[in-house]
Amino acid sequence: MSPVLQLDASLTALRTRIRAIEAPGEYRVASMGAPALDAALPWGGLPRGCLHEIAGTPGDAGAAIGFAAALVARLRAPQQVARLRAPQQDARLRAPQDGRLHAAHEEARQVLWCVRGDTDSEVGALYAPGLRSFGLAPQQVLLVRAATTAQVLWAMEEGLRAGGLAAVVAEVDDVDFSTSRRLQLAAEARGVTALLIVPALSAVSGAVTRWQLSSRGGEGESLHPKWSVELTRCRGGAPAAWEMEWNHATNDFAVVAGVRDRSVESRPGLAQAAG
Amino acid sequence: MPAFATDRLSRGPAWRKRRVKPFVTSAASAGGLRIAAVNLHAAEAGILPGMPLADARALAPGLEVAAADPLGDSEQLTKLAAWCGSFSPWTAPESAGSGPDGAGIWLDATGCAHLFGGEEDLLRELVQRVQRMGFGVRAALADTAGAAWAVARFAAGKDGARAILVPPGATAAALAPLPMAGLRLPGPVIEGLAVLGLRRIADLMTMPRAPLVARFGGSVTDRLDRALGQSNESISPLVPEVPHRERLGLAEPVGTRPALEAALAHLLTDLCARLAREHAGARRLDFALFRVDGHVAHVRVGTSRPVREPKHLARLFAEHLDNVEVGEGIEVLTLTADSIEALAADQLEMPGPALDHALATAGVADLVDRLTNRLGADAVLRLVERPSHVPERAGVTVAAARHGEEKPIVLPPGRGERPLRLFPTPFPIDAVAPVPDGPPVMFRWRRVLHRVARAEGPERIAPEWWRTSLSWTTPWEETTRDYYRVEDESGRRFWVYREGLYPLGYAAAVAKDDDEEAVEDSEQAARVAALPRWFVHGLFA
Repeated sequence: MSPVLQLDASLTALRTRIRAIEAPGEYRVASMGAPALDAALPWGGLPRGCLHEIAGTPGDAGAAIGFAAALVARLRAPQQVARLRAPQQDARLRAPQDGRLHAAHEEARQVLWCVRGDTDSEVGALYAPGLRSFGLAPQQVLLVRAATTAQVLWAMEEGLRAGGLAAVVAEVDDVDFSTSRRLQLAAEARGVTALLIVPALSAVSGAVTRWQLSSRGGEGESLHPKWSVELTRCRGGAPAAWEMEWNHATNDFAVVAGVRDRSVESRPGLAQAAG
Repeated sequence: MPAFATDRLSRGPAWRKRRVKPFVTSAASAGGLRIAAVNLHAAEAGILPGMPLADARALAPGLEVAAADPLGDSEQLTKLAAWCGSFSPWTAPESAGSGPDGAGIWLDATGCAHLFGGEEDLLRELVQRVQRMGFGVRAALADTAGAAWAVARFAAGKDGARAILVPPGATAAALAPLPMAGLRLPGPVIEGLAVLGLRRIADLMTMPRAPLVARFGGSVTDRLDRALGQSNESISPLVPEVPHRERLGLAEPVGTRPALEAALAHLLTDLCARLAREHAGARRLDFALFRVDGHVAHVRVGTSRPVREPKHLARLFAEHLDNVEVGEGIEVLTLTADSIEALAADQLEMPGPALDHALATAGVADLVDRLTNRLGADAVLRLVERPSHVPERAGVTVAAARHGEEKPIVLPPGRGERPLRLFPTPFPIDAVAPVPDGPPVMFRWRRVLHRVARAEGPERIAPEWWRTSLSWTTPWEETTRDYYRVEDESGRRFWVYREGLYPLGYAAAVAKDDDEEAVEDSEQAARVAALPRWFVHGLFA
C-alpha cells in the first residue's frame, strides 16, 4: 500500500471515530412544543437523561432561569408521541409506546432545584406563585440552598444519582470540564435530566447541549416571556438561534420570528435533509 | 473494683512499680496526711485507709504514695460507666468511694445477655475487658441489685473467680454466708448488730423483725428485703433505657473504613429486621463506637420519615464515618434507634405507573434525608404557597425534613401573574412616573437606567388589616402597594411597586407650581418627603 493510500485509510478511520464520538447518542426525548425547535435537535426533541447548560447574559439572570423553568415544564409535560425526524434516526429512539408508558407519570415527578443560599439578594429567591405560571406546582419542587458552589454541585449530582426526579436544576458561578462531564455521566446513569445555569458559557463542557439566553423586547403589548435563544453547541447537531416566546397558557414554546438556522448557512447538505 | 483509685493511678507502663509494690494515695486531714486508698499489696502489708501516712511508711518501707484525687476518680468512673454501655444500655456509676469498698458500676443486664451468648459469658467478657484496662475488678450478676453488690464484694468465688453468677432463685442462699456489711448498712449499725452477735446475713434472715426495727430503725430490714428481692430498688441510670439497640463486639480492634462499614451493615441488618417485626421505622439513630482506650465516639443521623431500609441508613451514616477518630481501634460498636415511629408494612404496587410513582416518591424521601444530613435542615426546603394576597407571604419555604402532608389551599382569586424570582427585601428605586397612578416611565436600579417599553398594571394590594404587626394609626393610603409588570427596552421584565398613594390634589399642586415657579424650597422638600416611594420586588422570566 502506498503511503498516500495508507494516510487516506487512517484518515478515514479517524473520521469514523470522530463521527462515533459526535453521534447524538440514544436518549428519550421531550418535545419542545415547537416543530422548528424539535427539528433543529438531532433527537427530534430535548433529550432526557443528559446535561444541558444554559447561560444568561450579565445583568439579565431572569432569562436563563425562565428558560430553565420552561424546559422543566416541557420535560414534565405529557408527551403524546415521540417525534421522529429522519428515517436514519429511528433506531436511536425507543419504541413510541414505551415513551407513552413513561409519560403517564412524568408530570407527577419532582424537580430538585439547587442554588447558593447567599444569592437571594442578587437574583431573588425562587418564588412559588411564579413557578405556578410554568405549570410547576410548588409541592413538586425541592429546593436546596447550599452554602458553597461545591455543595450545590454535590447536591445536583446526588439528585441525579438518586433517580426518580423529572429534572435537576442548579445555578452555579462556574463549572469546569471534569465536573460537567461527571454530571453528564450521572445524568445518563439514571436517566434524569440535568439543567445547569451558568453566568457565561466556558470554553469546553461535557454538556450535550449548550444554550445562550437573553431577554428580548417584543412588539405589541404582550408581556409573555420573550427570549433570544442561541443553541451554541449540540452534540451531533448544528448550532442554531431563534427568537422565541413562552406561552404560559399552553406551556410550550413558540418561535416568533427571525429563525436563524446557522446549519442552513454553513452546511447546505444538512439543510436539505432537515427540510 | 476494690482498688479503683490506686488502679487508676497505676495504669500504663510508666507506673509498673506501683502495681507490684505497696501503693497508696494520701489526702490531707486534721493531724497530717492520712491514707485515702490502698492497693492490694498495701492491704496485704496491713495498711488500711484512714491510717496516718507515717504509720503506713513504717509498715511498708518501700511505700509508693500519690495524692488522692477524688474528682479524677469520679470522672474516670463515669467514663468507665459510659464505656460499659457496650454491654448494657443501662449503666450507672456508684459513687467513687475511696474507702475499703472501692468503686462500682451498676449494669442492668436484663435482655442483654443473649448478645454475648449467656450471662456467664457476659460477665467473663466484662471482667476481662475491664482488667485489660488496668482495673482490678470483681463482678457479680444476681436477681437483685443488692445481692449483686454484696456478692461482688464479699463472696469468695470458686477458685478465686472474679466473676460470680448467682443463679435465679439462689439469692438467699448466696447472701446467707456473707458478712453484714454486704447489706450496705452504715458502720454504726453493723457494729450494733455485731454486739448482738449478728455477724452474717443468715443471722438476720431468721430473726423476728419487730425488735430489729425497734432497735435500728427500718433500714436493716429494708436493705435485707431489697437484697432478697422482696421490695423494689431503683437505680438512676446514666443513660435512659433504650430498647432498640444492637451490639457488635469484635475479636480484634478495627480502624479502617471498610471494616466500620461492614460492622455498620451488620448492625443495621439486625436492627431493621427487628423494626420490621415491630412494624416500626427509625427516625433518629445513634451509632456508638467504643474505642480500645475507653473513649466513645457517636455518629447520629436523623430521617424525615420512619425508615427501616438498611441500605438507605448506611448511606446516611457513610457521610459521617470519615470524621470518626478511631484512635487505636474500635472494639465494640452499638447501634441504637433513639426515636422510632410506627411504619406499616410496605404495600407493593402492581408493576405499572403506580409502582413507578411509589418508587419515585420513596426515592425523593431518601434524597431529602441524604441532603439534609449533609447540608443541614435549613438548606433543604420545600416551596409552599399560602392563601395570602401579600406577595412575601404568599410563597414561603419550609424545611423539607419537617414538611408534612400537603394541605390543599384555596388560592386568592384574580391574582395577576407572579415573578419567578422574588427579592426577600424589595430594593428602593428612583422612578419617574405619571401622577397619580401611572406605571413608571423610567427607573434607576443598581446604577442602571431602565426605560420602560411596556407595562401592565396596577394590581393594587392592600395590607392585611388583621395582621397585628401593622399599627392601627398607619393610614392605609401609605402602605397600599400598586404593582406593575414592566418591561424595559432590552426586554428585561421587572415587578415594581409604588408604596402609598399620591396625596389628594398633588397633580393640581404640581401644575400650579410649574405655572408660578416661585415656590418655597422648604415647601417643595416637605412635599417630596411625603411622596410615595418605588421599589423593585421581583424578576420575571
